[in-house]
Amino acid sequence: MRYKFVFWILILFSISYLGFSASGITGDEIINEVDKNMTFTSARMESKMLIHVGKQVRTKKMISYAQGKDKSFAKFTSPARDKGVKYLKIGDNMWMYLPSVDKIIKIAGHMLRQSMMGSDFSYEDALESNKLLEKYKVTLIGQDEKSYILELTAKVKKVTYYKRKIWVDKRTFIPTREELFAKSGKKLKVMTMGEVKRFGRRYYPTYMTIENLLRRDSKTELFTTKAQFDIRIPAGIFSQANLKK
Amino acid sequence: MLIKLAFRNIFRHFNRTFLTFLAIALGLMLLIIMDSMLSGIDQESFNKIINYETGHIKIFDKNYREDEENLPLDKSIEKPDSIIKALGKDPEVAGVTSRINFRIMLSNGVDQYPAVGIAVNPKDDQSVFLLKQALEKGRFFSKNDEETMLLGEGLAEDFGVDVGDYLTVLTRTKHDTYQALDLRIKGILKTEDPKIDWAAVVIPLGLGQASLDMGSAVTEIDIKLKNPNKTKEFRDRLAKDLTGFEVATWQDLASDVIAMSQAKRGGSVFLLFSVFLIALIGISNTILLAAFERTREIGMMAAMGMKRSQIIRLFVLEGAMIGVMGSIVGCLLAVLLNFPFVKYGLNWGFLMRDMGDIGYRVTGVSRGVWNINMIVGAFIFGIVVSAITSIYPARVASKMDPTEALKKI
Repeated sequence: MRYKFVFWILILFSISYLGFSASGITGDEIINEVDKNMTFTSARMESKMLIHVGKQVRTKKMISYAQGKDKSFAKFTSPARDKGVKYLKIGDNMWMYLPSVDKIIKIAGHMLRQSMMGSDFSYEDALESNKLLEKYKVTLIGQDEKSYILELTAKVKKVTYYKRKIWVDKRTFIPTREELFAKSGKKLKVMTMGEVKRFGRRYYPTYMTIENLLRRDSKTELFTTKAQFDIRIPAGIFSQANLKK
Repeated sequence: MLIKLAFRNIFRHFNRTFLTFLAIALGLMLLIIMDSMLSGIDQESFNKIINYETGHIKIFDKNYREDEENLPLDKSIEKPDSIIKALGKDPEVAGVTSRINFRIMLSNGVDQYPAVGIAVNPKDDQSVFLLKQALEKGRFFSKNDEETMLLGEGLAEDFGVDVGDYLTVLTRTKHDTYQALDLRIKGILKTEDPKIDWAAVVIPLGLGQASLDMGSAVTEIDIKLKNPNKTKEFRDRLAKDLTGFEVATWQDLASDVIAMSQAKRGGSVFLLFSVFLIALIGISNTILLAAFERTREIGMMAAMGMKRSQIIRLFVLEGAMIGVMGSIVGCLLAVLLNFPFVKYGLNWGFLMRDMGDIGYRVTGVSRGVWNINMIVGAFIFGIVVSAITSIYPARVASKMDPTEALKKI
């Protein structure tokens, strides 16, 4: 009886394994495809961030530029309180400019854990999402009609989230949902992405949410209102001098 | 003879003498009571710090304290066992244990509050700290790895939870990875130390080490000494034996609280001294008035052959006598009033909660103390200073020319 049970498990296992290999794609390849979609030679975007805290909603608007995987720059344009706050990211380094004190602050150490402009994103969330393949072992754990389901488990010690689970759209290779887990296995945050639009030859999600599961009604929404890809970015955008301009 | 004269003189204007005497008595009483309460709060604060937070001596990794604010887990004592074992054999050591302190966010899925996690060793924590005795409800850990927590009473109240309920402890491991533990509340702590009651989540050390990726490391070793007055000597001796570590006494660790208490005390003593000074001006004034009033009398006494020095002595004696009476009554009142303060204490709870964390480790009742030095000191101070302040009016009186003085008849 027991052997029979093990046998069935094995059969099921190999069928599902065959299923995945039949589609001929591995977890790493899927992540690579996603990366291709989500990074761009260059881009300029205008976005709106809605931060929900309890019943309150705060809206912030920003303009951002990105080049490749390593360089990005964001400037907040509203509300008045945050106008002129700028962020610059080059590789692993991040700086912030606060116009109220006219100072450039390097975001490092414990500051990385803080939330970005009061949202549910932390700075390290922003830094780490670029390096999934370096830090995680990717396993394709299943698929449904629409998406591949990947499980990422930390292969290095220094990671913010020990486990991630990512749903990737089969057609567009856009991640539609990501769950972030603590080491104990408890789910901490959920990100969803949607409103995928076509920009030339690429797809890009123009709506994104992140929800903190340990706090009720704590959610941040990000709408991309305007996006231009593969454009020429004015020289000097990704420099510390530009932060103070 | 002079004494008798002085004694009779001070009662010639009973109302005035009484008011002056009352000012001295009340001034002294306030001084003694204030000192009693402040010393009480200090003593209480220091006891709380020793009994719940620091022990007498703490050992850290040598780089720990420069980053202490963040409660770093990567600056830890990797192999605490050999040190603990050696300390256990030291004849001066009464108890030794180890702990991990770490930053947490405590959550019930609705709200999230920052707090401090303390992983304690259920086997030997009681040899240094009094957490077990401070359990208001529930029980202490029985196993080193059980997935339970003890919660400060204030936090339990804020979350509206009780023994048996669950809360989520969100923290970071040594490698900065998120860790979230759903822990059952096994006990509620009421220590009257705001650092514990309003901010602490206590878990067993085994659970802490496993979930924080600490291996067998701890962030501190805590020591209780047999002789609590020898902390500095013990620290210096231990620091010589241990390299790569920092050894600190509770006084070193609570230096901010100690400095603050000294500053506060300096401030209140100054304030009380000012009150007392006003009382003394009262004495000076009473004697001066008496001197002018008794011009005829002084003239007469001088004419009858009383020496200048004797006149000075007479007035100084009068001042001193008012001082003696004021001091006796002041000290008696203070002692009477201090009885209930020492026995029942005063409840600061309503005040402290609103003020938030101001360093004092007192959340509820704080008792006064008997400071005999202060009482005796205040008594002598009252008399001496009253006598000194009457020197000036006495000299004014003595300088009166007998013939001029007699003219005023």
